Amino acid sequence: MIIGIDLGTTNCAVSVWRDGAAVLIPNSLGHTLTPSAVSLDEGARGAGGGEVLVGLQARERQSTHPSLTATAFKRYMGSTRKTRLGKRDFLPEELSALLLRRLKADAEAFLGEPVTEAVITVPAYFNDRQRKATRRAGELAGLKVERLLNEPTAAALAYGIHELGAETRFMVFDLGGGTFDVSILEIFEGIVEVRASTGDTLLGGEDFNEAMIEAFQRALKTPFADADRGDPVLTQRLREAAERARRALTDQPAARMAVTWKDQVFEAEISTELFEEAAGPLVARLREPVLRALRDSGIRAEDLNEVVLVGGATRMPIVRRAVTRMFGRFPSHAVHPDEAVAVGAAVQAGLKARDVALKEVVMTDVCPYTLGVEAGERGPNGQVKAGIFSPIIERNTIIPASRVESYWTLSANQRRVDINIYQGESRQVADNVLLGQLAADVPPAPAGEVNVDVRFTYDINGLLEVEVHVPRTGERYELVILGDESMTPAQVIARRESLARLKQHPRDSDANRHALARAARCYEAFLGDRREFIGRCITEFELHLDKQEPRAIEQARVELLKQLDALEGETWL
Amino acid sequence: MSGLSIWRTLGIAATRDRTAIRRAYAVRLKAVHPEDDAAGFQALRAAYEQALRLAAQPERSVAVEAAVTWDDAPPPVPAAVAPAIDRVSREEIDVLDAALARLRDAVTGPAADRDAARAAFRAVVAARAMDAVSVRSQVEAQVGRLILQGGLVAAAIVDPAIAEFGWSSDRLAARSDLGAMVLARREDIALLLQLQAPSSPRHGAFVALTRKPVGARQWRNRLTPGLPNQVRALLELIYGSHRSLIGELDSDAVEWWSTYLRTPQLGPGAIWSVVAAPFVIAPLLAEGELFGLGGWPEFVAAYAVAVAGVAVVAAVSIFGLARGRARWRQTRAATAPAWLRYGWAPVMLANLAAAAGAAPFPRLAWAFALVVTIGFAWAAITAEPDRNGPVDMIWSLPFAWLLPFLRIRTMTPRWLLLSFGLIPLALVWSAIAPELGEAAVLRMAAPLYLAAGAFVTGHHSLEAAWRHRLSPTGRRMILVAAGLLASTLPLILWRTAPDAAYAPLIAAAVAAMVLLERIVSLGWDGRGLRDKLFHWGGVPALFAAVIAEEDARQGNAFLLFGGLWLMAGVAAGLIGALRRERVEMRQAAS
Repeated sequence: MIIGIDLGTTNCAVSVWRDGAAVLIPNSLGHTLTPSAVSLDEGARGAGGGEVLVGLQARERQSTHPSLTATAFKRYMGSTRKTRLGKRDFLPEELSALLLRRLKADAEAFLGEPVTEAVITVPAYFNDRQRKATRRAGELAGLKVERLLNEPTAAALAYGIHELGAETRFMVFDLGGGTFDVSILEIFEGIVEVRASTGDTLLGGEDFNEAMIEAFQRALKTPFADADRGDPVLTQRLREAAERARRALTDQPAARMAVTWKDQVFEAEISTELFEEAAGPLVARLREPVLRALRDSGIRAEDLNEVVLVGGATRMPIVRRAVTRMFGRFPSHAVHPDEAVAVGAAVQAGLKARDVALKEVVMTDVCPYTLGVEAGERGPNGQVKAGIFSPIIERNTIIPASRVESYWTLSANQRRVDINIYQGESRQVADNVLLGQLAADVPPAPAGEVNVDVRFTYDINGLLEVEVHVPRTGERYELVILGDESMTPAQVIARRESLARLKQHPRDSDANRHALARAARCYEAFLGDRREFIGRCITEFELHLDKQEPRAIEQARVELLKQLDALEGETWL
Repeated sequence: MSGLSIWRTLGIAATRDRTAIRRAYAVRLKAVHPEDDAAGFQALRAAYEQALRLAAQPERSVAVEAAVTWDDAPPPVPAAVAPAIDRVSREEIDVLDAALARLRDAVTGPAADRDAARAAFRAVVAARAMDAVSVRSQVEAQVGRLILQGGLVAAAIVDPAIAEFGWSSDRLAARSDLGAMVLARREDIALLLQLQAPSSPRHGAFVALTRKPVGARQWRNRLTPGLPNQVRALLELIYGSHRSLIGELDSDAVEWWSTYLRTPQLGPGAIWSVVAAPFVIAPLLAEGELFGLGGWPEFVAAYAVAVAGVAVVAAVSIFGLARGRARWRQTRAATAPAWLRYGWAPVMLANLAAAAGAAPFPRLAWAFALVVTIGFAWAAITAEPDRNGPVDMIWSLPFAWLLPFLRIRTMTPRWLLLSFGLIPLALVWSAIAPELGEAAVLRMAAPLYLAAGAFVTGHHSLEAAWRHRLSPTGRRMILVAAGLLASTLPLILWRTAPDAAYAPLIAAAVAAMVLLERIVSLGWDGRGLRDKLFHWGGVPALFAAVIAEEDARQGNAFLLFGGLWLMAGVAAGLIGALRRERVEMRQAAS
């Protein structure tokens, strides 16, 4: 079976299309969402050597063992930034591979059969390098990545799969942990067509957390000094407290935020007004991608039948209110904000497997950014202006797409034409993202007489192929854009084996591991009586673990978690 | 994609029904899955998009309604209506309406003021009702319309509006039709401000187009040097790429200028030269004591004669030749028979030969002069326009290498080029003068000069006739005959040079050969042997002539060596033409 994987910045999920519906697969803790966190445990209790913890257990260790834990590494996908956990360095795709390996194991446990193929979602704005890194991560985890699916399209599929009989137009408003995506789709005759896809890559729930922290600083009698703010442990604690408070504000008019630091407790009461004042500028930024998507698709706001909210951050009342004001109507609650992308991935997996239930459905997607090359223009007075972006595939072109443009030499006796490939919307290449470079040799001739044909082929996975053809000499050059780190198949196998050597913590004791990690974190986060109390609970639980009676251990664990919930509130995902 | 293949790819008959097109696309898409057949899908998609373009109205249209009421386009009432606090309320819309009204007043009202306009625009943008997307797009349309129709005051809000609504051309594909129009309007306003500044070079033309042409203004229009060309350029600029400025021009002025520019006129330059040129000519005439009055009366009389003369020349050239040519091009040019178009050439050559032969009979000189003048006018009227400009002619003229030194380039008037081209001919003829006397020179001067002038003026017509009217065989025959003549002429020259009686005929023959050869070689690269001979060969010829003149044995050395030089050039040109003919025949055969 092909599984669908939502590889998110803060959480990931795995799902499958079964019996005509999308089913989310629970992990070893029984949750459908697994936090995107990886932690190395050097010298675990009862097991020698380094062990890898993935998921909620790892996230709990973020504040207790920050140098052994990695989160939000999706932001670095496609780069060669190495994260050091203990004695080992990891590439972002290797961390993602560890995550994917855990999800694969969860899926195999749920389905009862081996899983080798997957559909993985990526942000619409991921460029070629980032997409290839995601694919490599899948390969490192032992998964053949059948398809890379854009996240907003996945969310739209999750909604649209219920609307296939009708003819409808809707907008998907996806405010996730780190990015904001807006897509406008149209469904007719069983075809799901993406009309426009835009967004803001630097706007997400995390930014709202920052706003909450700012509100917290304002509410405190003595705010934290700037020097302290740089400390990673404090930052992590502030973020967690901010996240909790933000979620609390969804249902209550005010929330309490408390942070322990250097044996001191800082707490304040944050009202909704205070938070919304701090978050005002962020909400204003939500408008621009919406307008741009409407303009690009050519559909007016009045013609949209529905606005679908996706992503945890859209639970915030301030965001809901902004959307309602924008469109004069309530947004739809037809999809679960956190699970929509995974459901969509399952739908795509079903489409890929040509499942009978989806036989009459075809989905088409668009390229969300403009792709082109750097060119120079000769002005009327003969002066050459360089650094101009010349688009070859415009944004919101339906994919797969293949376009070719001709360029002419600028100087006489030019021997070489440099083709610099850029992605972006600005007219100056300096404001766009450089994807790759290619050089083509041309025969000498007077200026403007030799032309070079550049063909961009953008396939359905969002991977770019560049072909350059010089008609005069008949030569062809091809460029497959690679990152700085390109791996041969042999290297991939070698890396996979080295990752496999990392022992994964056994599934059945995951829950216990998680409980211990959470208790350790709480122990550090609280002071005085409460800290002592937690210490006692931990000791009690460890005694039960030593006795190794499964039923007793389970009861003790549930009890421990209940105590922790009473102290700090429930675990959020 | 061709029209036919669109419908074949979609699998339906040609239609404008959008629903039918979409259904056809949907059906075909199930078969041509993007995952399986990328190329096939792309072809299908291209056909689909083109079919929609052919059938559909533009989806994005600028809302240029007369008045927009908010009740016009309400959003469809959804199943769950949001509570009052979450929807844009009536009060907020009223606030926005008031701000828009203030903006309209500030831009187009009687008390139009830039600062007020800017402040009003800021108030509009800050209105809370702008949170709703549909409200925003209506405001965008209204502000855009206001900018397009407002005057210079609207320029104050153009930049803030572009920033607010994202019309900037820096962001690709983010433009709407409205945005593009506003950006164009911004450029137009910039040009308008430039035109209104007195220091701008085009200011004079702008003033001429914005003031009514009555009384003194008409005279100023007619007499300011260079004004007609400037006005023509400005009109082309405005009507071509800045059409929104047409409203700024005075309609009477535009009409007056259009009529003025349509037909060839006695331009300001011509009028001033009618007044000024005689001042140069008069002293020369006065020197000649034509009227026998002496002193100041002589000068005045000479001046009057000169003015009359120049005026007659100017009038003839404008009302006779220029207007004649304009009418010819409008009415007869396409349908005229060949003799009417090219007949002047043989007439001129025959006249030249006759004038040369009749040199000893002074009384006939007037007749020849008259014929040649008519012939020149004929050539000037029926001449085809220069396609490549005077540059084309430079390479065909002897002594053309002098021109770059004298910094005379493509803007050279024709008469100046003529003068340069005729230096060798004049030199040749001046060789005859000592033998036959100045009167004889004057008698041959008109036929020679005007014949050459006619050929220079009408060379494009003759070139067209040569290339397209004659068959290749005909051309080769003419070239061979001319070649034979060109090879015998030098011998004749050598034999007859000492004898002054033959000099006019010889000179006429040489001139005719040069003129004919010129037509044949027109338009070809100016670096071949023929051009080198023509441009540089004169120097050794002159040298030789000067030396030989000392030696009386050679008789009229200038005529001899000048003639040899020119015939060498002619021979080279004819040989080159023959070679080209052969290459063309071979290409046509292959």
